[in-house]
Amino acid sequence: MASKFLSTQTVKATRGFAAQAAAKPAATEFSPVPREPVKTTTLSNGIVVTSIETNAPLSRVGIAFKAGSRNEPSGKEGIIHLLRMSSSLSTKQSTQFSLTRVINQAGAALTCTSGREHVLYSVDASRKQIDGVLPKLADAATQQVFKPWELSDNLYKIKLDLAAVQPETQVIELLHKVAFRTGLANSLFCPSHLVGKHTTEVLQSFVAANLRSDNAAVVGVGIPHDRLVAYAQSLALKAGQSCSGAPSKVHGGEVRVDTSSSLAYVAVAAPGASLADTKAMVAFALLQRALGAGIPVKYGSGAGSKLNQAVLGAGAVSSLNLNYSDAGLFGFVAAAPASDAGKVVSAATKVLRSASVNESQLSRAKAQLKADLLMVKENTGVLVEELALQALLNRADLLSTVDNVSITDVNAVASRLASAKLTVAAIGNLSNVPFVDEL
Amino acid sequence: MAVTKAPGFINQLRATLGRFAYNASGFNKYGLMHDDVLFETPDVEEAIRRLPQKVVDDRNYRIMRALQYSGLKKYLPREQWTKYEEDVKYLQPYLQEVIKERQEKESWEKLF
Repeated sequence: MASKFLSTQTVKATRGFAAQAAAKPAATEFSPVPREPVKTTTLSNGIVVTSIETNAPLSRVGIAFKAGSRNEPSGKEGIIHLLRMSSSLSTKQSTQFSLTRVINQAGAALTCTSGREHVLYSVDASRKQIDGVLPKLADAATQQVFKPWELSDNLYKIKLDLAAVQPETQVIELLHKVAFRTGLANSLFCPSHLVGKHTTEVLQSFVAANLRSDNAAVVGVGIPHDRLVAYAQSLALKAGQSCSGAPSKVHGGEVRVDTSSSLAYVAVAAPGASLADTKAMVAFALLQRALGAGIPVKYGSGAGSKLNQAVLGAGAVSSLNLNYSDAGLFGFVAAAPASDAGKVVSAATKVLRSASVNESQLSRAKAQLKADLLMVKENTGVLVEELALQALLNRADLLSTVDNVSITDVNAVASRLASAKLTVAAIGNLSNVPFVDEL
Repeated sequence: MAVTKAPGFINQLRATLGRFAYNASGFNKYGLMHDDVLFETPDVEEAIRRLPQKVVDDRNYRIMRALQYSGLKKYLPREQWTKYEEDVKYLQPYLQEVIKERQEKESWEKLF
């Protein structure tokens, strides 16, 4: 009897699960985790609240502003680097000590990331602890005071950051500097000659002018939307827009920095797509995958990449695609031993100039791009930043557009590269690196 | 009526007593201010570290001048004595902040 009883139970249980599975709506192609859809609310003071309830035990909340290094006044570049550094310093309400200890005690993490067009203060904590740390996030993001002695006490962090900047990062910063000249040209890192020159007043006036409610977004992953709306309403932010900088234009040009390295790092770029033009943006992203963005197989030769095929293993080349609200850059970054750098850069430039894709390359690029976009949704840290950028810069969700982009669209943007004016940035041992007019 | 008069009277008394005590303490005869002659506890040292450079320079000047006159066994000319009304407690806001921070740390250490 006992065994019979058990067996009926088992069958019932199985049926129960089967019935539940059948009752669920058909899962879409890509949704490994049951998530609720993205919800967005715009408050009366202009703050955009966007959240996605992941039903996961970890919550992440961010306060983002559409203000970045491009908003820095000239002669005072590097403010954004100091903002990152100052995110854990004393605020109007909390001391540096209490800010750090409350975050630590909750097992949470407070970070400040910034780009050329955005600043994002975010905190992650377990769902139970998030309520305790949200006030500290509000403090850090909206109540900065920048006490002079704390700034000078923490200056070593800026120096440490600058010493740790890798040449592959530096070459991208140099590329921006020469390509845009102003605005987007400003680096994410403080220029070394301005370290320690930013006073409390300079930082406070930047914050007062740029971190305002009309260009703010509050984003959350793993938090109920109404809870986040109430939180956003409690933020004390000045109303109004930030001063928008001059529109960006890609100028051609060249910058070369000689160092004692045995390698040469070279970035070559042409005008790319801005965030406003979603179709061109996706087309460039697909072209980037076709030309090769990193090596998808570990220790592989990157045989699928046109750039890698062209340089025949003499150096590492990866295609570059950067999009900003009103401008973009498309090109490649190469690293090669000094003796081969000339060959590598010339061959890669030839590929860039004559770029085109066929059907099989395009379908591979589409698969790679979709995987990359989905990977962004997988990592909640990146997802918070992605939601913030979508809210602040009206950036569209690209996933739905990928399939609508045809081979003619991609080849149309590729043909622009044939005659585009090039910008070249190079750092390292440049003895064999060709000049821009030789490319 | 007595109620409205009392605070004025007390304030006046306090000011008079304060001025008397200030002049009796003697440091003003060397041109020093109240916050120049605080006992240098770790709190005071930290507060001094946070002062703006201009305020520190003025403070150091007053202290050096006082040491010079003290060595000469002389007071400053009477018109250069610091007056009770002109004394600025320039260190107090910084000192209060340092003390608050220390107390906050101590209460945390007790809790955890």
